[in-house]
Amino acid sequence: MMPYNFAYLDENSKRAIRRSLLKAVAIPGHQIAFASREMPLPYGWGTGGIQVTAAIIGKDDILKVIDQGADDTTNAVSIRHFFQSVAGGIATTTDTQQASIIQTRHRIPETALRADQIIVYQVPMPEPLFKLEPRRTETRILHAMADYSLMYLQLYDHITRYGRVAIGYDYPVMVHDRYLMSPSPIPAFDVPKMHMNPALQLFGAGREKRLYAVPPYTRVVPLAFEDYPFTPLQAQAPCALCGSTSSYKDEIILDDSGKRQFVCSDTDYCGKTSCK
Amino acid sequence: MQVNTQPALMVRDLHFQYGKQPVVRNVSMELYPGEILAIVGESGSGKSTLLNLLYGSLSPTQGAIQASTPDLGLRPVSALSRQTLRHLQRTAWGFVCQNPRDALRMEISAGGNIVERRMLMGLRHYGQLREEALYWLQKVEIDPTRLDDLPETFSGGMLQRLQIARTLISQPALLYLDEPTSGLDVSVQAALLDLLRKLVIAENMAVVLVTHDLAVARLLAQRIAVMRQGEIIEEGLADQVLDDPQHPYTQLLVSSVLPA
Amino acid sequence: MSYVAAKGGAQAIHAAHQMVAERNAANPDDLQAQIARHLHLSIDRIMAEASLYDRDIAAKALLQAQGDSIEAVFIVRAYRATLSRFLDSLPLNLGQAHLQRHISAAFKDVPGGQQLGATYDYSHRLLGYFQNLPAQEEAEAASATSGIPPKATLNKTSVMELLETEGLIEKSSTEPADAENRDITQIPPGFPASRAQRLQTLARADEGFVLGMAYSTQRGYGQNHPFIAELSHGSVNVEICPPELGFSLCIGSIEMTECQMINQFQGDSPDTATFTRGYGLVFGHNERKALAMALLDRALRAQELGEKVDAPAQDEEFVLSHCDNVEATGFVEHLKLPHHVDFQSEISTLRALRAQSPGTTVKHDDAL
Repeated sequence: MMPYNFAYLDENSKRAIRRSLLKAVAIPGHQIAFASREMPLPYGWGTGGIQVTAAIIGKDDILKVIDQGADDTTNAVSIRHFFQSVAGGIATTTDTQQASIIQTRHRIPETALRADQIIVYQVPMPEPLFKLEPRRTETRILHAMADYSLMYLQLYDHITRYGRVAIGYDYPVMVHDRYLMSPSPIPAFDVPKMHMNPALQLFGAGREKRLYAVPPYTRVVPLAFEDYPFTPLQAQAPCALCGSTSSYKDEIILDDSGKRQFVCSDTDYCGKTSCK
Repeated sequence: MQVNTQPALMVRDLHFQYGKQPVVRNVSMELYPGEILAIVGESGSGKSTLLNLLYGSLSPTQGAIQASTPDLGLRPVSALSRQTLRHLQRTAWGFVCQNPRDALRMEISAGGNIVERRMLMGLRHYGQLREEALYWLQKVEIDPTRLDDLPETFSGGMLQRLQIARTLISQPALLYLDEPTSGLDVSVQAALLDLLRKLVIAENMAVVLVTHDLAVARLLAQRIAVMRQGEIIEEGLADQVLDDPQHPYTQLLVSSVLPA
Repeated sequence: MSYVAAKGGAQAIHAAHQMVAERNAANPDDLQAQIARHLHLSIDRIMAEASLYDRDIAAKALLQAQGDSIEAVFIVRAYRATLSRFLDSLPLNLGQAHLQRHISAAFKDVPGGQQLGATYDYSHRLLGYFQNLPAQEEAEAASATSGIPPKATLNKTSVMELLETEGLIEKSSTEPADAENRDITQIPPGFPASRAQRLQTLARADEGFVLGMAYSTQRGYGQNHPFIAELSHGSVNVEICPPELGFSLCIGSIEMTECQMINQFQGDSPDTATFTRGYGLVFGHNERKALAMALLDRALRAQELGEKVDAPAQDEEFVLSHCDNVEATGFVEHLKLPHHVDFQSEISTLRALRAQSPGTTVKHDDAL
């Protein structure tokens, strides 16, 4: 393989991405356009997260990469290998507490994060309103006007039709009481972890060419009505491996008769809890 | 009823052109709370353009429009920021489109459509929102069991009533109506106009109604302004203008109305 | 049977890659050079969509991708992203191109002549056709009285320039692109996009998508009455002017295909009505792409030209957001990634809805 700069991107690209990240941190929840580079992994497979990580990672960092909460899912493995080969020398880990940078797809680790950690989310569709209004020219104006009636109307009609808000993942949140944001397709269950988190939360959407951020200790509030408060769903059983009743679970179908078990989606957390 | 001395709307020497074509010429007028003014004219007279100028959707080429705002009284519309203008248009002012489908969200329930303005104003209680929606649904005389239905299933007259409910729920001080009954059955028109008149009088709104139909003007308005080729050529009390028109063009308009 | 936490993602990936490598290892050594020579149109397409002019790299990528051209484009683009830029070339002087092909449909004859060049446009699509050319063709060719010189012509006056002089067609823009419009791979375009940004996007867009959109305009979805003024294919010199030298020098030549389209006239009055234009330009030899690009360019100018925008091909945001095949395949294929966590939340939600109102519609407490 050809020799590449540390973490693949050239220093100018990294600098450009960091400048965009600084803008993002200065305006919590607001999407910043950035010149997304072609990466050796496909668009839609984490190039945004990879570019953010590449822009901030240093030789002394310890990197954890997870997908669906686990370190060993195919794409997490692929991304971790990528950084191991282009950022030679950086340590990687599966231990959430040891990591300085955590790149994640679709989950927030169960273990609480610290102020010295950065979590990088992979985001497919950064625009929280895209299902209701696909045109960027329109949503740009709605964000500028802080006009989120489209989303509130959807929630109103959910309650009318279903008796509750029926959004299971990618639940819309209000950041710093100003911008409506997509938290990425994490389950609604994970949203409360974002609120006043001591860690820096960065979001990268490579294909859509957008970055955004939630600085440490920022208000992140899921949209709800006063009489229908946000109530994410819990799994129906404790973890079959470690017994935890507080973690997010994967449902595993065991046999042809439909027998099923629930297991922690966060493999690192599960392993540690069952050891206790 | 106490007459408010502050006008709700003040227009001076308004002029607007599309490219080289003047569409509105030298229009001046005043409107007070509780007054209903009808602007009548044929298509091409510039009346719809005038309405859009007053509402702030278009910027005048020359001249000034001042409209009332809840906190600061009369303000020049062209000086308002985009955010402020948009907020006013969705709360303190109202605009009823000729085609209700242009204003309604067809994929949202009737109830949702009605309370959108209230959500914009910060109401976050589903039960209260629903109650208000029901109240207004009944006020515009739509069957309350239709509250959760999608507007696709409504007739033209019902859609227009829905648009009216959705607009009036914020109790706007200024209301603009663009041919509100065109396209509806004659039988439906009268009932709708009657409803409108009751609602606007109850709230003491200042209303500008645009119509080509003199009968509509007579039913709803106290004052009429006749517009021709962008200019207002005659203005006065509705009955006077219609029963004793002075300008030859007005006389032509009035005489060409088919006898009932 | 109880669940054992599934591990082995790393081994699975490694085994999958081994299988691909084994297949590729069986390739004969000179295959890459053969591909560059014999499948040159495929190589041209890859260069165009990857926005990188290098036949060897494109051939290498196509081989690695086992013939999957979008995958090959992806590989070349990723490589391109690592290259440093040190200079912009001067604008290409297409009037001085060394042409292999130059035709016009709008005019019977044009300065420089109608030059068919090597084309299969009028061939019969029979397998083995070119090995057994019909005797008829040869006989007719021998008896042809006027022959167009097979040599290329330089310094041709563009037909469009002549129309411009006559005032019959809108003038082409001669403004150089400013910093923001220069390179969409460095500064991504927003909406509304400038014409320069649109053209750059189309030049590297998926040929199939651009073709389909262009076709739709011909069938009435945004009709603009196109005529080909000129379609050219040939080589053009690339010149740079390094600031240290202060003069320009030629660093090589590249093959390009260019299409100048004349579209319906419009204007306020009979005196000022002019024809409008569409433009297409791609690396290598690709007439289909250049033509389709010109049609789509013109369709996307609808708003600028004051036309009603109601066809998909005229919708700038729709066309430019979905025409890039690397972005498209990435997102479409990302559905193969694990989604069990999001799906789990969907199942839970649906179960919860069923549980709270079994078999009935939701009842609200309405005081009627």
